[in-house]
Amino acid sequence: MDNLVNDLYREFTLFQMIGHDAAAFVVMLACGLAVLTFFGFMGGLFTFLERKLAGWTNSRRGPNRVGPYGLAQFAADGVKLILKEDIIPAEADRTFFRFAPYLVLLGTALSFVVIPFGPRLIISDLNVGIFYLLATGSFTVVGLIMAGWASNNKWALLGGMRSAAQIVSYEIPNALAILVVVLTAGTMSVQGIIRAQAGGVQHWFLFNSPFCILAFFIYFTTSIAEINRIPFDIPEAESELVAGYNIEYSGMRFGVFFVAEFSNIYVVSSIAVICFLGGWQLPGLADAEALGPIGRKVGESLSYPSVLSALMIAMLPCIWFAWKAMRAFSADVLRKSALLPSRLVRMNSELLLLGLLAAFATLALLLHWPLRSRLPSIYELVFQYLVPFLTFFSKAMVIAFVILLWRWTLPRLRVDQLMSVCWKYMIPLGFVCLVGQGFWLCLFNP
Amino acid sequence: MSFVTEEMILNMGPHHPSTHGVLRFILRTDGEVIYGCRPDVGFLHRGLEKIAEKVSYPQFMPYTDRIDYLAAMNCNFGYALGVERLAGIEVPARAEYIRVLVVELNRIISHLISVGTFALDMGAVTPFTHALREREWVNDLLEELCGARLTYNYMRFGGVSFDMPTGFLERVGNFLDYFEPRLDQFNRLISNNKIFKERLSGVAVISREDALDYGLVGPNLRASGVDWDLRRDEPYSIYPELKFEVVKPPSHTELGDCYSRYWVRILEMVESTRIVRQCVSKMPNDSYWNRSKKKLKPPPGEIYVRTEAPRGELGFYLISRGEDRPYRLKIRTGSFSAMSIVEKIAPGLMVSDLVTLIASLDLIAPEIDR
Repeated sequence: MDNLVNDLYREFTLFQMIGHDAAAFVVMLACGLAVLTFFGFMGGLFTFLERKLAGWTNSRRGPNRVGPYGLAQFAADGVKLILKEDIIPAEADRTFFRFAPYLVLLGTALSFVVIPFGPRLIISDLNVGIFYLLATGSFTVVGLIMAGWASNNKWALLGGMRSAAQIVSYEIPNALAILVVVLTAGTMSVQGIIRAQAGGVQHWFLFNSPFCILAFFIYFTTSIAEINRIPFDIPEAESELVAGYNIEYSGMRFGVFFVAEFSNIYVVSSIAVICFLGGWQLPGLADAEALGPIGRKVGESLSYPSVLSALMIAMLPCIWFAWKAMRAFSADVLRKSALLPSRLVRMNSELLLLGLLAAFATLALLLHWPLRSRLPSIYELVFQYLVPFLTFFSKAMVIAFVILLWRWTLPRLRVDQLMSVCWKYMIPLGFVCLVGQGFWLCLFNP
Repeated sequence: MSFVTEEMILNMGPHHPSTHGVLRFILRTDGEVIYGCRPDVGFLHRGLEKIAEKVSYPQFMPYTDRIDYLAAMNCNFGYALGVERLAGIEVPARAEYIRVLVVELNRIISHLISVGTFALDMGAVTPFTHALREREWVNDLLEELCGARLTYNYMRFGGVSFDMPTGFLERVGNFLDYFEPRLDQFNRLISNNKIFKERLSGVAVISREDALDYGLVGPNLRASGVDWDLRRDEPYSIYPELKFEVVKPPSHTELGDCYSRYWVRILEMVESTRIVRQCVSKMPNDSYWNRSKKKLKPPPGEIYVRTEAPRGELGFYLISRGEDRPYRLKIRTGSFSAMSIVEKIAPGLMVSDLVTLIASLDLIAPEIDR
């Protein structure tokens, strides 16, 4: 298959210094690390965004103490959660209690395997990709029920039961909405679905037919219910169930629930982008010819060695300035605050210098990497990796933004109302969409 | 097919986020449906009525702040009125107007907290913070008057403790000009929200008979269709001179449900702004405090004075034996009787609806326990 992971694998095996299994292991390890990093980063970013958005809608300021604009708030939160005592109630089922957060995390983290960030930026383009996404999505409910049951707390149990009822119900219309897309694209592969929407905005599945628009709204609504957010956040309704299934959790176990929940926002937004908004395709810039012949020439003339050398040369003054700035900053901080040990500040500036030097060395090493297989040229790097990634990311963020904003705008439904919305409205509508789209395709798309 | 289900005893409170302080309900539920609900009061009991027997009349004034800390002015007012009638103290007109002005301002912010936390209990956080934002303005105004933002200790027998600072009335007017459009914005944000309406309409209906039987008062009583407001029906202070309507539950709500109780409070805020405007325009220029140098020793006798506080009738029953402190003081509060009806209404509701019911009754723990 044609993606970066396979390229990396080929590159390693071509060396013939390590065996195929070892190469696969190394590549998979790298992928896993990359996914987990991105996952943690997204979780953190969303906690920050949510709190900032909450601040703005609530006419407050939101986090603004840690780092510029409070950007490092989530790092501080993470450190706090890690340092906190991990309390397991005496009467709790210890095994399940400990296991549950990781199951929730697993469900979300696994989704990242098939989420594409570009035509070649995907870990594995499964041929049942979208099906796989639905399946991993329901992993979380097992974790939530497990957490609710193992806590041995009635409120947690109620939360767990509510989440089970809710997620199981809402998966049906959710899957129906996605089936409409699968029907239209004729494939379940994530990349296949995106490629089927090539050629501009009018080819996005959102605008394919009236049924697709309806399916989009069904998907959007039900996915919010799947990730337990307002107006469907009844499993953790803080004013009713105190905190829901995670009431007894503390420390990093609680943090894991939270990171999973917030990363899930990104997952459902990216599914919406994949299925309805053309994925990583940027209208107008979809094909490489957009820059014209001159741009293409310039792009292709840029070779790795030349760009890397340029970067290295550019880095030298950067390192110098960073070092000076850090010294000045640390002197300033030391003057202002007697609390901060001078050792710490100096260590930080040294770490920064070391990091920059390490980056420099890495670039130098890369320059002399005996490249055997074909790695993307700079031109390809921009058009096949960077632009699609940014496109996909920004589309997903727009959807996520709406999801985040809803939480601070709407009240929540009651349990029975939630169920009736699902079974009386969403599911019949979903079937109407599916059948309607079938007829539509027969009539208008021969 | 029939399931054998077991009843579950669910302990709600005293530290539950939507019990508005330290209330406790012992629920018997089947899953989410409530079979029985027993309120357990007393977590905030401070023995205020006993304290009243131990301290002199003026010394008890700060304690009245703590009867209902969201409407401290109203509690001050009720107590001051009671002692004044008992001792026959004259109050200057300016003091009366200042009193009604601050009391109605306090009613506005108390209702703001009520509707704000109502929305919060329904899961909407933003209306709550917006309500608090408006409340801050009034807090600032009241702070100008008496130096305190929550527990004012402002009223004195025969007047109020400080006159208004320069420009205070203009600032009150500014607040009202700001507040009225904001209330419309608030209604657009939450009151007319479809989900909010669905959550509240037809939930926990209190019939007119039940409301009367259980002694509901204030907005809760009016929402059940009883046209009763002490400001009009048993007028005190300068209320006869002011024009205002007694709020009726609006026609788009079901009589006695949570939504009508919510709307009664919203509309009462509008009425209160009307009253405050009249107070501002009619403010007389005489003394703010008919101060007596003598130690206050009301003649022997007893009196029951009730006023319309944000949470309904606030009654002070005072017995004097000619000493400098009351022989007995009994405080009758709206939340206490409202708490008792929860037991009657709750069975059959879901746990989420109980939260709605509690929020709609506008219970406040210190008023229940005193």
